[in-house]
Amino acid sequence: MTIKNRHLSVLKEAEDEGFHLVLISAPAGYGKTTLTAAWLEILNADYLWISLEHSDNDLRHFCSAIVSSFLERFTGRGEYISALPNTPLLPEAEIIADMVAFEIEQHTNRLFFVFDNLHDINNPSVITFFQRLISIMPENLCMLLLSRVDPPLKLSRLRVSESITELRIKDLRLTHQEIKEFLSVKNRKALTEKELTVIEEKTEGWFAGVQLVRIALNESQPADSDIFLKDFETSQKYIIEYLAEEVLNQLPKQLRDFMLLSSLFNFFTAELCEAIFGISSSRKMINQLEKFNLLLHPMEESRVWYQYHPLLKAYLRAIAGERNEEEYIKTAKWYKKHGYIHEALQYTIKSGNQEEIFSILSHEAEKLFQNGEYTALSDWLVNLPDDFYSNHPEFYVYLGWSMLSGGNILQAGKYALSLLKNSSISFQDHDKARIECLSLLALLSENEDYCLNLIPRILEKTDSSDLFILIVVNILNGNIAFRHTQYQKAFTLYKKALQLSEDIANSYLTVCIIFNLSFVLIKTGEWEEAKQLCLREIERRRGGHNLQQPISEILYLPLSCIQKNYESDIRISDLNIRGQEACRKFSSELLISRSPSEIMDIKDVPKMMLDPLSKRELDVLRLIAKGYSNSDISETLFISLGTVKWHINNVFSKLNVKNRTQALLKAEEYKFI
Amino acid sequence: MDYYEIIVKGHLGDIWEEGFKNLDLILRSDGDSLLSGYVEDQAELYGIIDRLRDMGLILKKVHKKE
Repeated sequence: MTIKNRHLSVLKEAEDEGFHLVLISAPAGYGKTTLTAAWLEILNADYLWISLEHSDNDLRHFCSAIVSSFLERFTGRGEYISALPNTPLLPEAEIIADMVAFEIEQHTNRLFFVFDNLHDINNPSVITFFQRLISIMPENLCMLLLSRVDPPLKLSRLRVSESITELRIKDLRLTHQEIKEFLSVKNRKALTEKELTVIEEKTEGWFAGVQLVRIALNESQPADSDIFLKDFETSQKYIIEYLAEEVLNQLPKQLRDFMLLSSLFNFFTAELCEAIFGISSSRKMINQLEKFNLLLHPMEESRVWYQYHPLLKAYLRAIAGERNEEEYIKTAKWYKKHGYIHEALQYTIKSGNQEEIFSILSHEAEKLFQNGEYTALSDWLVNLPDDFYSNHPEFYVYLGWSMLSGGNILQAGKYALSLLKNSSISFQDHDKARIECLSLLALLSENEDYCLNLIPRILEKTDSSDLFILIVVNILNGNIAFRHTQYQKAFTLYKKALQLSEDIANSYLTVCIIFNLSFVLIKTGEWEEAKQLCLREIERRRGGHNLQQPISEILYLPLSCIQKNYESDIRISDLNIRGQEACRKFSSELLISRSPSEIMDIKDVPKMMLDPLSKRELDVLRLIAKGYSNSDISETLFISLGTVKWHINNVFSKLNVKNRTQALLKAEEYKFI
Repeated sequence: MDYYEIIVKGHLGDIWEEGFKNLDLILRSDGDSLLSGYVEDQAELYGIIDRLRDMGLILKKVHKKE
């Protein structure tokens, strides 16, 4: 498809604006993907294309998708983010965004990130990732967001300052002239103006509709196409149904049958079609269908995996009707054999066959649980047949823990309690311990006595191999002791937790324990030991390029409380702010507290901002304080003038000021300068 | 459980009824389709609307009957 001139000029305009953010918001079938792909080709740019799916609502899954794409595309890069998908407790979305931004900045060229199907994303954490990345906006990044609906992102500031390029239905609709060009095929009689008008009015410039019209016209005899257009004009039928029916009726039966069968799959290869339906000519049929570009297209360059256009797939599935259980199970087994566990599970659950579901789910669910992939877990559990749980009560445990995916600890805790009260469910001991541990997380702030009684009972029932639960219980127990100023007891419990944590590589838990331990030491007057403890751990978590593992920054908080510089060029207030920020981001019941004033009497604790300035924004602000003009800043920091203005806008907005003078006053208040 | 009526532009064929299991489909003479029936909760309702959205249908009315 040739790119239209008016879209080319939009591209030019976007480039002039500094080309940082492009939003294409239009329903399925308006050619968002095609346009973006054409743009990228023209720009000959380095790009990353992430096609989002529902499962990307799990932050870890989303993170994996980005990281693996990045590593695949840019070999030899990605050192900073490569460890992310495997860290047992994932940092919060903002931290991940910061890390990705940092990685992008290491890339020498302009980098384009395309996020397709953004409408599938509704998880607040993942949305936060986007919001944060947009706000940081590395100099060399351009984000292209493709969505069927307006995404839940705060873009009004950007719209007002015209830093965002937006394409909507009105920009993507084909014009009369474009329809004419698209439908003119040599060796065929040209369409009359009247006919074109009919097509334009019926399709309203919807690209998917026009594409189907073209196929329908190309396949039919001239006499038939006259009839087709006449009927089309008067039909009130849903346009996709009308056109797809027309197109399908013109295809040979073999091809039509193949399409109906293969619509079972979200994406497929010739091999899969052969394996499930025994169609040996699958490859040949895929080749034939591929010629009709709308119907079927390859998912990547190697042309192994294919998928139907979503609108067509919906139609095919509606026609095909009910599938039988066996087809789903066979498909699931094929996916499992080839290592696509997620798809295997989806199809198994669709089959409704409980035995199969259990056999594949029990192993996977435990893995997800240990890795903290609560959203993925919750997605699967929600689709299970009702009586599945009563047959397999250990899944209640997973269901309870998966509620943490919504961030609603209290709800998860309450559910855990209701499970414990329900006498009709009989749990194995170690499952019961896991549920009780969950209830602890919710109840700790409400009913400490109850928790104190519960803890030894949990410890009795927990397998010595269930290290995660043991560590968590010891930490929570230690926190209770700390709050009752039983520092010796707290110390012993934290030490025990620390020892256990050496056998599992869970950075979050380890750093939390060190955080809590250091405050115990501070309270008992062992300042030097506390300082050494923190410094050692921070040192341990410093990677290549002098990059500090984000979670370890919470240790800046106790360090700043000890009131001694450890690096000459970082001031105490900076250290304290970074520590507080990190605590806020990694906050949970496992930390004694996220605010030093709750633990210590700290005078002069610097004020915290709700929406802290990014490093770049701080850089710009400090140069403003020195009296630099915008072009001076642009030269000093090696960023474009457009980007300088972008950052200044963000700074003013976050500080809630209107000009440089006010900004500098605020900055002094917050002790940035 | 609430009773909802949803009107979209264009006539939908019977083939789509399976996908909207609890809803009845009526084709109106003005060229619109009426989907009506009991909906378990808001989650189900939004699921239905999302599916209509993904079909590229134009939503004309969503009405909860008291």
